[in-house]
Amino acid sequence: MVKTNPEKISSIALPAAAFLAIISLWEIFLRFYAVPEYILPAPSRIAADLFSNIGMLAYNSGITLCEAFLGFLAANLFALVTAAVFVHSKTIKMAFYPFAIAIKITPIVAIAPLLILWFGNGFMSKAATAAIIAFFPILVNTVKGLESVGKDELDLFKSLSASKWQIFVNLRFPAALPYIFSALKVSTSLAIVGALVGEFVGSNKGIGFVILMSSHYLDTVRMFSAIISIVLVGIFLFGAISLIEKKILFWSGAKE
Amino acid sequence: MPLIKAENIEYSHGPLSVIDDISFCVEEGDFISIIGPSGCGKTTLLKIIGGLIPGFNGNLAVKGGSLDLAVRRRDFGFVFQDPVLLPWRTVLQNLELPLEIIGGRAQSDEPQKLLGSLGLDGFGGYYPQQLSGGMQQRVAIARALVYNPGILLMDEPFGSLDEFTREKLQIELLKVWQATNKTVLFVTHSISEAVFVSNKIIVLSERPAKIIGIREIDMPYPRTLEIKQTPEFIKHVSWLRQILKRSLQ
Repeated sequence: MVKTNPEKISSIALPAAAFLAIISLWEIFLRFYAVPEYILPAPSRIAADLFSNIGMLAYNSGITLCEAFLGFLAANLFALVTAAVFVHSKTIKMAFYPFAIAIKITPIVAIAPLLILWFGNGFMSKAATAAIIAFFPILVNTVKGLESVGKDELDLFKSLSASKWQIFVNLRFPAALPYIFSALKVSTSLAIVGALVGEFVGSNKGIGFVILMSSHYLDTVRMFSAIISIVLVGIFLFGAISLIEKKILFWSGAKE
Repeated sequence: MPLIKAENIEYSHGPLSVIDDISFCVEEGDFISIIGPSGCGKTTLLKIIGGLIPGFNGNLAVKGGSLDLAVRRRDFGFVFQDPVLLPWRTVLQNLELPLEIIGGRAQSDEPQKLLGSLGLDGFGGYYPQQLSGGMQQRVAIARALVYNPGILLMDEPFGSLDEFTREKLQIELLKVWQATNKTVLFVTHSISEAVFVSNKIIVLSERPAKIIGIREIDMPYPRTLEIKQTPEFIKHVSWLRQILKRSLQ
């Protein structure tokens, strides 16, 4: 399956080499200059901390991942239904679209304490912050995608006396998928931001909590391990979405 | 009783009068072309007949009944200038789309048969974007036939194809038309294409469209490309060209 063409090899080898170079320079720099560890720890120290605490970090990353993912799913579902309603009713769209924009404009940090108050200190409040921040891009793109179908396509379905539901399932939704997927890729990382914000405001577990604690104790090594963990979670989510996109959107390559 | 009877059809788009008092009849088995200058309202007229544009004035009867009834009976099969195939469905799945929408799974060997009769054997599993423009348009024609509508409405179906593919598809369309005994309304802006395929041509003026001529093409079917060299063919073409020219002055 995987073709070993030179292009592909260098697309992996070059960033890897650059990464190694930066890490080495960083390590060497710290050997020569006495920078306190709470300002900038050495890569070797971070790596050691990462491996010796892998269980704890994985557990807390897993929690953040679940919060982000649940919020992401809820946001998708709600955005999809809202978009479908908007596309079929101009009145409802006009009435409610400003609220969607208001949600987008409201800084998530500003409402996170309120969400903690409503949903408690646990899992649900983080999923809620993740959902709210992920909601808008999916909504906007889904509406755009559902409205992207051409006049000829609609005429074709009309000439078959297709119902609105048949048009939605067989035409609008599949046609919107390329738009939806590009929004999903943006909103996965937003959902993680949302979950972290929720954890910062009030929590006793999750990667956000680990970061907050390590900052209280000036444990910068731990902070770096935690940051790396959450970056890995983000890459995993993004990669998963991209993979699903490739499988589902095999037909759309030429369009973008 | 004519298959389609249009009386005093008028249509305005806002303040713009698009179609001005058009009346004509279509008999069962006719292959009628509608020609006219581009932007004159040919397509609009075709869509009005097919029930896609409501809000026109005048009377339109299909098989003696209302247009609404004809649409619900699915009397019309549309072929557009672009193939309008769904890129996420294979050729065969595109052909099955009308059957899925209608819900009649009974004639389910029809898609396969149509693939054969339109020279698409073995392409059922391909995706539309893997096919050439001509092949895609064949699929579009097959899709319009798959639920067996009595009337084919074709809106410049070969307009974006090269000359060779175009002639090939004209001949194949005529074959399908004769074999299935359909009635065809065919919009085109090519005079020679109109003469070649149809038994009757309706000529429209510039917008607002009026009928400025109706020409019977009484050359026998099946037609081959050779007839394009006959004096008769050339006579029809020049008559049509003249009347169009006159209307543009």
